[in-house]
Amino acid sequence: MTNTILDACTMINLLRIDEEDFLFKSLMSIGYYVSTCAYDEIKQRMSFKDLDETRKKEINFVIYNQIPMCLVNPDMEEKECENVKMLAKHKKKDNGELSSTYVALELSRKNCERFSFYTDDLKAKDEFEIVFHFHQAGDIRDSVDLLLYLYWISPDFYKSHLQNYLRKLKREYLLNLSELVDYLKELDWERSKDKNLKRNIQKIINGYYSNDDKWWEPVQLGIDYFATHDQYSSIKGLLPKYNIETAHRLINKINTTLKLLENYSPYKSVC
Amino acid sequence: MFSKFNLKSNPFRMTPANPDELVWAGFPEVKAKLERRIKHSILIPNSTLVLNWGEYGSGKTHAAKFFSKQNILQGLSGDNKIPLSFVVNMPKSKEPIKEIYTRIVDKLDILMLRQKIVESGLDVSETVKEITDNLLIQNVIIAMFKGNDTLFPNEDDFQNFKAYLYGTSDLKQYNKSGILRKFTNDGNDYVEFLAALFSLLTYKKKIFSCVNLWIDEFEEISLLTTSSISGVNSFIRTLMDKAPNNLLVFLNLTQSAMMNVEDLSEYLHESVKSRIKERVELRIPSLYELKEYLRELLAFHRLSESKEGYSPFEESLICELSKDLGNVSLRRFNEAFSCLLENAAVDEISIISVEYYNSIKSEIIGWK
Repeated sequence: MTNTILDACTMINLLRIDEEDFLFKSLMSIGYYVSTCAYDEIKQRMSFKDLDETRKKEINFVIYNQIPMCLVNPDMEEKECENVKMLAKHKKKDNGELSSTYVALELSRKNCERFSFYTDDLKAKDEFEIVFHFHQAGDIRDSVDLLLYLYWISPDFYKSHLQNYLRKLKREYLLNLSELVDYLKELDWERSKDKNLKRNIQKIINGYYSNDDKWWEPVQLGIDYFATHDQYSSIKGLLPKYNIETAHRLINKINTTLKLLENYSPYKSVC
Repeated sequence: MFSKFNLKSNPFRMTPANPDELVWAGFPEVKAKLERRIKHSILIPNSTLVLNWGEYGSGKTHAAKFFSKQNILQGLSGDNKIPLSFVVNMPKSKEPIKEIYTRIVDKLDILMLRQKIVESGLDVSETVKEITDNLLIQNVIIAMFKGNDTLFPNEDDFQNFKAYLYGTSDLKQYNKSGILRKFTNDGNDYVEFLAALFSLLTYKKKIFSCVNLWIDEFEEISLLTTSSISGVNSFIRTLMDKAPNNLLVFLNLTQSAMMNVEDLSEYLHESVKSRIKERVELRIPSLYELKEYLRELLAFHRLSESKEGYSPFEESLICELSKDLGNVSLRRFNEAFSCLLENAAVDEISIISVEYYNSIKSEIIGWK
């Protein structure tokens, strides 16, 4: 019986970084659950940017043939989850993270087990952590944790695989931002008379290259500005869809893990 | 617009419109280190890898462009042949080796190189045999620089040979020259070709004294997959192994919160790291370094020679701005001084003082 529940953003990231369904085969071997709400989000938000045709076909096969086998019973999600909402102070409309948290709680009580809910939406992690803690239903983890878990549990998952997938995951977050920065650097903004344009481009570029621990703050400010001003449509089209602060937390975690992997290896399963 | 300041133009513009305006100001130690390294390669047959590192806007790309200027290279070469310089950005695509190769081929002026070979009297057919035992590469080099009337009836056809290098031409026309296949995408042919090309062009320093290859934005290596990182390492190692005499590779690394110089060890294999002969740090400028930089930069842009020092900036303003901005790279200072100068020109201010700076401070130092 599996005790793994995956969120849409984690699934999308894994699908994008996977090679020849290696990760999904490993995942299938341990088993996992996906809530129907998270599944709908996967179908809506899956991005095929930069992926070749073969990979697109493989991903669609996983989405439409494999993931449905791992969906939780929709009846479980239809139950009242107001208590979870109240505990987490969840004010937004229902989403994949909420339904996954509720499913984890339900399954933990039904199976008398603790569950791990994997999401890369670290804001959602902060929001729903209280539910897992208070009900001792398990914990919330992210894709880095999942990759480390797959590494030690799967006999054919080598350290080189782990390093490769961690780097690919980092690329998922950095590439979009790096492309935006490249685009902004090419713009002739220094001579522009538009002071807001200049100031916000400076925030993004200088923040991106800053050595400061809080480099993401000016970057997010600049991105927020362009996201809310329609006159900069060319820039708006390139803005990352994710929150920079949560991305930076994940990137830092990947960097730390990669550094550790230079000298150490997590213990593998002995079974 | 800037003549009232006795300036030809805005000295702080990031991308000078005129390449002649690309000058080196201040930072004599960094300049001396890079000059010494290039002179070393001009004179001595030895391939070397140099790591230039510093924050964004510390002058790495500027250094690459400045030390690729013909007059600067000529000055460093003296009576020797000058270096052939290439500046390429580190690609973040899935095929970084192919992209680096393509960017170098983009910059090859085959006609110019061919003329230089003819002038030097170098026997391409014989020399290339000494350089590589790869017959395909030998034949490609011979076709490119020697050709014949059947292959290249017109002089311009040499330039068109680039289509073969890009892999877009019809192969049949080159079959008689022993070119029986295109370069494969695995990177081996690309690196073999570049190594042979560089070795030929610097053979006994007859045509060029050395090839200077600047790989800018090397930090982008952190965005590559493991196999691409291995590919880049293999590319650098093989290039230096197969062009062992006159190749000088500069890796420009921008350190940031996401990648600093210590992190580089994660991306460079031991075989490449061990080839790094020197690390040149482009530091955050001290107040003294900033002042020296300003004095020299302004002097370059004076309309008429004068001993005006920092004019139109008052020295107290430079100290105040430096204090307000703190530890930032030269680019941030350039942005601030550029903004001050442009505003002063519009506001018809002739001396840029602390008072004037304070009146428009929020615009000058932006988000900081």
